[in-house]
Amino acid sequence: MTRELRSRFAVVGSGAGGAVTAYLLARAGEPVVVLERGAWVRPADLRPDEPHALATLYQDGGAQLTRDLSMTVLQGRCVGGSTVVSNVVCFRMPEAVRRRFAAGGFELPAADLAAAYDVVESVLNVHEIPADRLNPAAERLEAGLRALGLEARRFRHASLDCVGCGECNLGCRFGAKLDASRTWIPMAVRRGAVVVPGVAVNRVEVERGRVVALHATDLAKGTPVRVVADRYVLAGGAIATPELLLRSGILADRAGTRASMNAGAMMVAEFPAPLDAFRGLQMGVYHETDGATIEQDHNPYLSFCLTQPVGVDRLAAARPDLYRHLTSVGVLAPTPPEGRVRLPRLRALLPRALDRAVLDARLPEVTRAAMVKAYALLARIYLAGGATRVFAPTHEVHELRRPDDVGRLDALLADPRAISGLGTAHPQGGSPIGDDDRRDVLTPEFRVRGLDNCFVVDASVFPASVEVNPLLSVMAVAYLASRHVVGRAPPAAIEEGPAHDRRRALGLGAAVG
Amino acid sequence: MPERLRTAVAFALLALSLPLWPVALPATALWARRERRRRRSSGYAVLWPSMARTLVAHAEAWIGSAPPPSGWGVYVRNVDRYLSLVRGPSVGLQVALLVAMEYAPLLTLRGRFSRLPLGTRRHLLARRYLVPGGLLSPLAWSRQLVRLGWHADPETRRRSGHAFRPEGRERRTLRARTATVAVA
Repeated sequence: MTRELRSRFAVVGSGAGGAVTAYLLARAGEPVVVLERGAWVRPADLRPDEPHALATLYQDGGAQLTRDLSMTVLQGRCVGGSTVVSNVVCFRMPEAVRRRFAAGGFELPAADLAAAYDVVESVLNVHEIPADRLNPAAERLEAGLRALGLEARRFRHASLDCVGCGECNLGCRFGAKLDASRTWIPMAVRRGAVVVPGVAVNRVEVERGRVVALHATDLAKGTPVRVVADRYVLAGGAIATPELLLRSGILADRAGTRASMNAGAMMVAEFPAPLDAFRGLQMGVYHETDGATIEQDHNPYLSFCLTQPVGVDRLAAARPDLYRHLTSVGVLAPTPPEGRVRLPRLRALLPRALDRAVLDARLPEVTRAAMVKAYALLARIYLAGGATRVFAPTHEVHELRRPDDVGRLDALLADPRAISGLGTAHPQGGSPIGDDDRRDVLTPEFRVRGLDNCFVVDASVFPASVEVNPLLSVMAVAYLASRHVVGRAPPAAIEEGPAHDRRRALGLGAAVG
Repeated sequence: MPERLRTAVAFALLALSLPLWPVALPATALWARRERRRRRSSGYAVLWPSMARTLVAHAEAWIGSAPPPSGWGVYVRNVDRYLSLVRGPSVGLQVALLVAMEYAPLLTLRGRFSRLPLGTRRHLLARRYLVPGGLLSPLAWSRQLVRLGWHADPETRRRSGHAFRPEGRERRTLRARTATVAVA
């Protein structure tokens, strides 16, 4: 029997975009129901168990792959979406990107965007990571950068009472990470929003240019659910939202197009003395270089072994204590919007294995070149910081022991498929906003073209990569989109949430660490 | 016999066997049914016993012929537990890749992967599965399951020196420290 849910607004997805939108709707007094495919996992439910966290918090258990199986695509699958498994490092959109978006019809006025970032950052308590939360490898990287006369910058992140456990990607069992499940979602619920976890939306029903219902499945019971609302907001992310449009036959000629990402892979180095880089936050310092960002990112043991170049993993198996001497840094580079989210043609043949949308994307030459250049710089930084050997990010072990060895990277990584552990945690695009009626999925008002009452507010709206970790930008853009979705201007300030409560209790006005 | 000739002969035999396929398909269905039944008796939630053998054979060739500290049983159960917790079609894909990995050597006139000598398995992994862009390179994805099973072994983690933290006294100290930072 079909269960029916009714509300004035239905939001599909509870990640960065959906959570902010749900809160702003609830704050405006609108009845809203939030549908989330994953479970609602509270900090008390989390435990230091890497296979369990991978299997239960990530889309496809952390094994979501691009169409040709060449890259992993990491996304969250729980209430709070990818924010729950992210490191919540926060960047504002570079001005050059904002201008590029504006040229294509996606206008984000600088002053409005800055104000939106201010409000979102106050809710998330965004602040620079204190020195005593950095992991010990940060010091070696900073030393290497200083030796080469380069700038070491410290990430800003969203937390309150962070203990620096180094397990951000497993969900925060201390409840210190201010992801969407700790901020916007509970704030929305307190104002009357209804969150329904474990429900997968399969299809959008359209009649005469309006969405009339969502067809979903209760994943626990396997029973159908029909959701009826006046307005619908799709916020399932850069793969799920285009997938829903494609499955529903909406703008099938362009849904899923212009997908992009920040592609990356780790590079590992060994230091002579044990570093114990797991003692501190995974991400501490970074350096921006031409076309790529070098980002410190050290994982707990299992995740480290799963994300490292293949050969290094085998070395660690033969000598597990080697892990104490190793650390990893990622190179992140944006891809042009040339990817596409597709539904596999053969999905009917093997539905249990193939019936889901996939990102059809390869590493373009421009991105590969930027990454290789950044890897060469990173290898020099490692060696200048005291590393005894640096491992090229290749499928077999290639060690770089002296600055002269770094030149080998050009040949080793000439083929993008030679880069081991390639993947993304930042898929974007697929439902691009723009002013071209024949090219873009969304109008500049975030409305799906041809549908009066359906909006998209997530990372899929970006017409190209925002080039930095996109979490903060998705939230800020969702905040600005509320002018169109909710029908009124967003509040100038938000005075609620855990960070606000703490600031008020302490009589402080800024981020509290 | 050269690798390309082996593959060509295998495909020729496959084409010649086309008339037998209507018989082979029901036989395959029966085999799958038997494997599912054996899965239940072996206590696995997702893996078939033949897949467990493939995983062990892959780990021997990839990581090392000696078992992980807690033994092959724990290694396979780590993978089975992980797959049983995952929701979504990727479980089907990963299981399909394991089956494909077991039988792919038939395309080069060799036996099933788990029954090949260690040297041949290593050769296949290095020369066929790990060749970027190669026909069989998608099968290399099952190495993630191998890594997961191997490194999720609690004894391996202990030997690595990694510890989840902060617990006990250290956690209380860190809590006190963060409160100090907040007031400052």
